[in-house]
Amino acid sequence: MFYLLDGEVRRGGPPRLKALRMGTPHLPDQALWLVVRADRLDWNEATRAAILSDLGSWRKAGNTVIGLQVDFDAATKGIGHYAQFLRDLRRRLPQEYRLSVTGLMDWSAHGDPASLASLAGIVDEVVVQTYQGRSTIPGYEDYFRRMEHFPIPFRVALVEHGAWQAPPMLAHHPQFRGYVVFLLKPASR
Amino acid sequence: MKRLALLERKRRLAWGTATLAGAGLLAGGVAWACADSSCYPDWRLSLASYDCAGQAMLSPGNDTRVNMLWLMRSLSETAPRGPAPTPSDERQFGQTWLSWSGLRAALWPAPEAKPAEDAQPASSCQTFATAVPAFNEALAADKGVPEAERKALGQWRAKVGCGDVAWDGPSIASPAGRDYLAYLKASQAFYSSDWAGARQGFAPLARSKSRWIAETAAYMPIRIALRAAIAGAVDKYGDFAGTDKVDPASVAAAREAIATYLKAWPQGRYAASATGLLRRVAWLGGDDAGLAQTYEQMLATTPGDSEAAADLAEEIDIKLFERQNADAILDRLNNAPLLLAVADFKRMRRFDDGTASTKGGLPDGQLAAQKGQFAQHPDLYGLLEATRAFYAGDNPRGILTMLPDAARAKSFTPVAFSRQMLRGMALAKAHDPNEAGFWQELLTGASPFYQRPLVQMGLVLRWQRDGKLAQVFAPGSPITDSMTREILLQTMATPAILRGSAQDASRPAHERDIARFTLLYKDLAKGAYGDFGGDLALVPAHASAEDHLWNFSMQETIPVGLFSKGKWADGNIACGPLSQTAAALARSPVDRKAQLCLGEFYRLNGFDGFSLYRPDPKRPGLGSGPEGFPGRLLSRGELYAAVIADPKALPDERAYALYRAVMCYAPSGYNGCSASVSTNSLPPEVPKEQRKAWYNELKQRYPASTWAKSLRYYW
Repeated sequence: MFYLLDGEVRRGGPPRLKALRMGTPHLPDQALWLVVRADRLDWNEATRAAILSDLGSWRKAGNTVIGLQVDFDAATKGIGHYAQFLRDLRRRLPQEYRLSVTGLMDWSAHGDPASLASLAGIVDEVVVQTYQGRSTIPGYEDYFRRMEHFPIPFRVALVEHGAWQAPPMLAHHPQFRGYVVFLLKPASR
Repeated sequence: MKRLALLERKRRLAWGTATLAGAGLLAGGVAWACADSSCYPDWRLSLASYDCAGQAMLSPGNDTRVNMLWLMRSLSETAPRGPAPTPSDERQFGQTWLSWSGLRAALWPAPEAKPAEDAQPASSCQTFATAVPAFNEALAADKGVPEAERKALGQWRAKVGCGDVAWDGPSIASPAGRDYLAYLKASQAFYSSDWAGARQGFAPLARSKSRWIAETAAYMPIRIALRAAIAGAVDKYGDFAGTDKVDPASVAAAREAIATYLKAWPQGRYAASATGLLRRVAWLGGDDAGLAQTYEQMLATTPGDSEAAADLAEEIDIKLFERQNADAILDRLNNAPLLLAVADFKRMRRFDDGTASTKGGLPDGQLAAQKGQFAQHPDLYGLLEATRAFYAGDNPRGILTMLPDAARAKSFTPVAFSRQMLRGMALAKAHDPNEAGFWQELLTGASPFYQRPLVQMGLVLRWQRDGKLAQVFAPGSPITDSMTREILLQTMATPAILRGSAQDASRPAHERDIARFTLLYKDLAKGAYGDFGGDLALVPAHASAEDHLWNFSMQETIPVGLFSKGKWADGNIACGPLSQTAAALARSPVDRKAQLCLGEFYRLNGFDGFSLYRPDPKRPGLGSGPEGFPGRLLSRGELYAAVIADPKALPDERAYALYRAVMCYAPSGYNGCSASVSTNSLPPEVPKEQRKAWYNELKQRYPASTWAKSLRYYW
C-alpha cells in the first residue's frame, strides 16, 4: 500500500489544489491513498472538484484507490474547527472513497489523543505521526500509553532512520493496523 | 536534522514485536521537510555546511534560494524593513535565522484566508484560477451571443476540465456562440490529453471574430505542445521521468508556436506568459546554455522587492542548481557571474571535518579563473574570495585586507552586509582587540530585518569569550534580540542575572518567563534549595501551569506556574506544595522524604525528558561558555539512587525509591528520569543488571509494600 502525495492546498490566494505530481500514477499492484497536504481548511467547490477529479483519473488509470488522506498539521490551529471541516468533507466525498487523516502527536497543548478520538465516525483511519520533519518526537511512549482506548483504526507513521521502539501496547491494540514509513530524500538545496 | 544523528545511529528502527502489516510509503512527501521545527540552528556565525537555518549574509551554508534572493536584493532598490516576524512553527529561529519559506512569508506575507464561501459559482478544477473569469468576461462582453446561449456556455465552462462534460442544454445557434462552444470543446480536448483534437479544435478559432477567442486560440498551441512534450515523460508514480524522456518534436512545436503567437500578438495578453514559456522550451529541449543565460539576465533585472524574485529563485533552483550537471553547465558559460556566485557559494560547502561537501568542491584557482566574468561586480567577487579564504582556514589578517572596514555605512545591501560580517568574523578569528567595537559600529546601519540580530550574535560571542556576559544584560545593552538573550539565560546566566531579567519590565514577557523558569528549575535541580522560596515570589499569580515541556524553549507559553501551583502528589506518597519540599531540603539536603517529593514534582509535571536549551558541545556557539549558575544538575534518577544508597532511609522511602528507579525505564527501556536531556545525546542509563537488582531487592526486602506488589516487570 502506498500513500502518494497528489498536491497541496497552500497559504495565499484562493484555495486551489497545487498539483505536485506531473502525471497520473500507474501502480496496478498497489492499493493507493491519494494524499493532499493542506496549510488551510477554507476549501471550496473547486478545491474539492480538483481532488475528486484526480481520484477519478487515478482509478481510471487502473489503480486501486482506497481513498483520500488529508495531511493537515492542526497543532497550531486547534482541532475543533478541523473536525467540522472533516465532517463536511466526509459528507461531500463519494462513499466509495475512504477518508484518512494524519495526526501529529502534539495535537493539543497536552498532546492528548482524546482530542483525536473526537474524529471517530468521521474518518476511517488516523495515521499517527511520530515525527516532526526528520526526527522522532521525544516522549512518544507516553502518548501511546494514553492511546490504549483509541476508538479509530490507526497506523503509526515512522520517519526513515528515526528513533523508534514499538510501545508494547501496539501489539495487542485492536485498532492498530500497522506502520507507514515516511521516506526521506537527501537535502540538496 | 543533524542533531539527531547520534540517536538515529544508535536506535535505528527497533521494531519490537508489532507486525509490519501495512508498511507503505509516502513518496514525494518530503518537499516541506525543512520548513518544520526539526531544524535547530547552531548559534554561531560560520555556516560552512548546508543548513536548514539560513542567515542574512550570503554564505556557503545558506539555501541556494536564499543566496539568490540576497543577490537580487543587492542589485535593486529595496524598501527598508522592520524586524522579521517569528513564525510560530519556527520559533527556534528567533529573528536571527531564516528558512526559505519563512523568508518568503516575511517579505511577502499571504493575506489572511477568508472562510470558504460555497455560494460562489463553482469553477473548473484543472484550469488556472484566472482562466474561467477571463472566459466569462469575454463572453459577457460579446454582444453577438444571445442571453440563453451565454448562460449555457457559462455553465459548461465551469465543467470543462473536470471529467466528462455532457454538453446538455440549449443548442447554440448564433455564429458567435458557436465559436465559444467550439472553444470549450477544444479546451475539454486539451484537459482530456487529446492533443490532436485540441489542436484541430483551436486552429480555426484563431480567425474568430471574437478577439479574445482568436488570441487565446493562437496561444493554446504552445500549451498543447508543452503538455504533449511531457505526456510520455512520467514514471509509474506520476513523477517527471527526466528531460531525456521528453518528446523532442513537441518541444520544437512549442518553440514554433511561441514565435508564431508573439509575431501575431507582440503586445498580447499572453505575451509575458509565452515569453516565459521559452524557458520551459529551453529546459525540456536540453538547451542548458540558453536557459542559464536567460536566468542570469533575470537575476540581474528582477527587482528584489517583488515576489517574482522569490518565484525566480525557486525556478532556478529546481531547473538548474538541483541538477547533477549544474556545475558543468555553469562552467561552460563565459558571462554569468551571478549564477556562478551562487554556485561558488554552494561549492564552498564543507563538512565539519573541513572536507568539501559538494562533488569536487571549489578547487584552488577556479575562482581566480572566473575573475574576468565579475568585472561588473567587484564587491561580489571580493566577497567570494574572502569567503573562500575564511572557510579554507587562511590567515584572517589577509581577509581583513580583502574586505575594508565600512561598518559605519548608513545601510547595507545584502552583499555589502556580508562583506562586513565576514570582516567581523575574521577579526574574531584573529582575536583582534577591536572586534567588539567593530560589531557595535555595524549595529547602527544594519537592518533590523535579520541583519541586526546577526551582528548582535557576533558581539555576544565576543563578550562571551571575554567573560563579559553581564554586559548583555546591563541597562542600555545593545543586545536587544530576545532569542539571543533567552539562550544565554538558559545556559550561562548567573542567578543574579536571572533574577534581574525576571524583574526587568522593559523586556518581553516570554523572555522574563524564561528567566523565571530557568532560575527556579536550577534552584531545585542544582541544590540551591534555600533560594527557591524567595525566588518563587517572582512568579506572577496568573502564570500558566500547563504541563507541557517537551519542546520547552520553542513554546509560546512558558509554564512558570508549575512551580507555584503544579501537581505535588498523585496518591502514591504524601507531598505538600513544592515550596515546603524545597524548604525541607534547604534545612537538610539529604531529607529522603523531601527528595522523593522533589522526584514526584518532576514526574507529575512533565519534567521527564525536559531540557533547557543546550548548545551542541561539538559545535560551540552562543551559550557554550561556562555556566554561571553553580552546582551540578541532579536528576530524578539520581535522587532515587541517593535514597536507595542510604541505609538509614525508612523502609517505605527505600521501597518507593526502588520502585520509581525501576519505573524510570518503563516501558521502553530508555532512561526517562535523566536531568536536562538534550535531543542530541542519549540519556545516561544504568546497566540492565542494576535495574534487575533494584527489582529483586524491592521484591525480596519489601514484599509486603504496595510498590513491590504492583511492580510486575523491570525493563
